[in-house]
Amino acid sequence: MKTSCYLVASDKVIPAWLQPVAILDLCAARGIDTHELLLNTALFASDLPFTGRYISLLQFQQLLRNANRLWPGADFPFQLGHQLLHHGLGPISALVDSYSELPTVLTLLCDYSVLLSPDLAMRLVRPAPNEILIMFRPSAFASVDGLALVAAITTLASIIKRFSGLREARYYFRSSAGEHREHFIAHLNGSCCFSAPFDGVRLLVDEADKESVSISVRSQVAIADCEALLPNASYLSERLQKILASEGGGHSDLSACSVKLGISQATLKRRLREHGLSFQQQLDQYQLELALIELLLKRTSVDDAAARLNFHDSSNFRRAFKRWTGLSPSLMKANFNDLMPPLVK
Amino acid sequence: MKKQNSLSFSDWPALHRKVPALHSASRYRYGRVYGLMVLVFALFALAASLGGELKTWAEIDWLDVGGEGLVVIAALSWLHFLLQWRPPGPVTQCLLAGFGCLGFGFYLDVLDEFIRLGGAGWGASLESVVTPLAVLLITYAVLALSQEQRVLARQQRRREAGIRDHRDIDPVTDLYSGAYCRRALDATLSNSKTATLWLIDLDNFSAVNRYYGFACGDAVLNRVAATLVAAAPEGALVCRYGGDRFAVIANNPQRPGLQGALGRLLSEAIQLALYNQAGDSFDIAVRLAVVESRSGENADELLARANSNILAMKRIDNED
Repeated sequence: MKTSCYLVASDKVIPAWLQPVAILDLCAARGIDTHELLLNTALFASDLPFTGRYISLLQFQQLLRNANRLWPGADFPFQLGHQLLHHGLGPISALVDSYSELPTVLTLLCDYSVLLSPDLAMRLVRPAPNEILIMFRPSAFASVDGLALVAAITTLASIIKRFSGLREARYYFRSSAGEHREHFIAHLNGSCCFSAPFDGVRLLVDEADKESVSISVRSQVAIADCEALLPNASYLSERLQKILASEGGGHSDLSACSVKLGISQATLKRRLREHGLSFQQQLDQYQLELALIELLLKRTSVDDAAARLNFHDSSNFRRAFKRWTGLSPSLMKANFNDLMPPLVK
Repeated sequence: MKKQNSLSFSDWPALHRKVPALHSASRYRYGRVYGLMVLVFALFALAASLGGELKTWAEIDWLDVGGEGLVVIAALSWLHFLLQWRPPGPVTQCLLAGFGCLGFGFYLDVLDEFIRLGGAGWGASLESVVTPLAVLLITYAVLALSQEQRVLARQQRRREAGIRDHRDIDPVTDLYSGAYCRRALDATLSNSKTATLWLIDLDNFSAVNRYYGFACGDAVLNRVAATLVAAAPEGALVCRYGGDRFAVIANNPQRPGLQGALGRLLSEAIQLALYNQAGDSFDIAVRLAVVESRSGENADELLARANSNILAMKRIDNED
């Protein structure tokens, strides 16, 4: 494994004995040929159960695509999501079992989102004591792999379903659902909004739900197991987002970030390009997330939101927001009630 | 395991690979049909060249030969596709005979370019009999085909509404998918303005797949589908909405007591299917939401209302 402070998509960091084996099991139950399934994944059926082997993100995504292609019917990512909760997430399942408070579990899942899905980063926001918003963003490429995202959200939905404090769940997808809308509704057990400005979940929980203070031995063991499985660095895009967040966003530029990463500007640019990214796109992604949280969740006025995001004046902010989403901030707020109606109490 | 005909997530090029060919036992024996055609063609060429008068090289119009040859090849390829696609039966036999004769008639046309068949006396008259006969046979077969399609549509009753699109048929239950359900509901609402939608949800169904495997889960879903088709009122459409959720679009309003009766029926069907498959019993709750369309409501709103009813029921059950 590399010693640099960030990962690239071809680094072999995904434990092959967890999710890949779960995918293989799922497909075997459907009678799919294992050899065809493993094409171009650098895995071989003779090496099963892959204990101690790692694969790269590219190979993992190839495996997902192979499975989806060979799977009869259109519900592969959903079935994978159901399966993963029971087998394939390793210590995550134990972690979920060891807590009884949903907010605590979700906060921990955000820390270990790489184990839930390798190219997924989650950001948890609590705009009110009884409301939780989780936003998903890609941690390696420009957009989250559709199959991985659907599988992860289905797993998350099954996790959420287990907890009693839940009042309502609402799922948001950037993509338009097209012909598969019904699968989303039936498998996720919640209302779904498509063509939303972000991928995420919004939950209404019992207000009595306090995050637990004491940690049981079981939880400690599960957390230690999760820590041990985490790769020793994050993907480049994820690292950049962290750096941007620590600097407050607005003032960062390419040179400051490359210094923090300990690489030259040219290398940073090249690495980003290899993943289909650019620095401007990373900055936009970071600011869009903040802007959406301010405008849609905290219901900040457009002027205040511009100030919080370190824009010189609000017309600059308006222009940038329109570039990110195709909608002006006020129009986005006007659509607010359609997109994020107050959850039923 | 069942062969599949549905597409995965936006994987259109996979279409023809996932549609299974006819079962080999139900196919015609190609050899026999092709052998017969070759034999007839060869025998006739021999007979004509003995009885007729060969044309000189200069007399042959190669453009005619090319054009008429192409038509023969087209007729034979139709014959080939028929052999490949259609299950045997009277309609198929009639179509085969029609296309066989058509191919032979066109072949005579080509032969005419090389051998003066008129000289043999019977050659020219044969040509003007065979092609019309072929056309008559094909016409008759097409009429029979339309009748066959109507009977098949009756066989599909309560499983299909108005539109036919095989790509939307769910491979597990052979019911149409949720997308088709949405379209059919849209069509019903825009035509008759009212519809009653039943949405049936099996609770905790993924546990069956997990404990007993997909073969068992599919069998249970299949049984639920068959039970729903049998239980749905006349003129209704049954779809697999998605996952473990089924939808029934009925024309007449809900009768009191439906909820309880259908719930009992489906629970029994599931228990029986599970017992047959796994020799075990497993508790699966059936939830039924029945909603009637309001004036001016579209399919999406009606479906959303039914789905939120199901969610509300789940929430209440979870609290108890």
